[in-house]
Amino acid sequence: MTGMVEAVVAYTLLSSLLATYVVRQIVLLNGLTSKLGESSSRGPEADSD
Amino acid sequence: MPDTRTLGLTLTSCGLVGVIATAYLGFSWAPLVDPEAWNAPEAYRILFWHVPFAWASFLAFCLLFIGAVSWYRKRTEWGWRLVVTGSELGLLFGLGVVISGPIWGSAEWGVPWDWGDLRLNTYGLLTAVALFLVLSRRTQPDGDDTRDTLAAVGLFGFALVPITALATTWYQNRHPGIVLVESEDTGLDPQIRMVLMLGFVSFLVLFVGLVTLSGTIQALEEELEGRQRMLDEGAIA
Repeated sequence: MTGMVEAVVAYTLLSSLLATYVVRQIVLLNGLTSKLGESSSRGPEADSD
Repeated sequence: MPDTRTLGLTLTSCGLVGVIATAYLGFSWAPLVDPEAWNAPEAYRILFWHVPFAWASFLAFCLLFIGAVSWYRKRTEWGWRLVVTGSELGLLFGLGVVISGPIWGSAEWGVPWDWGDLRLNTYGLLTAVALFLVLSRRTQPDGDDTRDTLAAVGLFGFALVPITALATTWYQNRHPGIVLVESEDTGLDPQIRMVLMLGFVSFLVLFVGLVTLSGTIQALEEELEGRQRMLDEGAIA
């Protein structure tokens, strides 16, 4: 047993962990940016609905 | 906040490219370690990510410490933001270490975890502290009392950092010593050292990018909440 399988499994799991967090942050960032954009363009009256 | 958004995304992308390059070079370029001295010579390649993950988690806990002290001293909003960012990134990188370490341990030692090893156990506790902070922040109502409690837990967590970092120097049981520091004596291969250094730099850039993104997200959330509050006050009046 050389441990190559374990190395591949470890890198797969860590890549998934990193990718999940980075994608979640980007989705959150884009969501907030568009919400703020909508809120600015619609004005206070539309927001209060 | 377009500037920090772009900066965060750029640094994160650059960091990810470096992190992927580290993994590629770790598998294709770094030489195999002595098969006579190691039980699972290929599994050592896990360390090209495992060690930088651990360093990044220590940086995250440093942010948590600075934020907690700032929150206690002056109740600063940026201090609380650092607590939030530090705990999130501490959990992310801590989980990476706690996942990859036992995989390597089971290949090399034959057991995934050693309950008698100081570093493994203090590090596990550190990650548990980060998990507690992240879950508590999301489930408890935001206010000064909650922030005081979580900042106190964060300070306790930071106290574990030097113990964990120096555990192999003070009390080495199973976990290997500090790789780069001991490399002068142990003769770490220059190619292995180079890949490790690339890993450190890449993870540092990724870390700074993720800190910037997290700060931007929190600032946007506050702005949105502020607007909502103004609308609510306007509606009541």
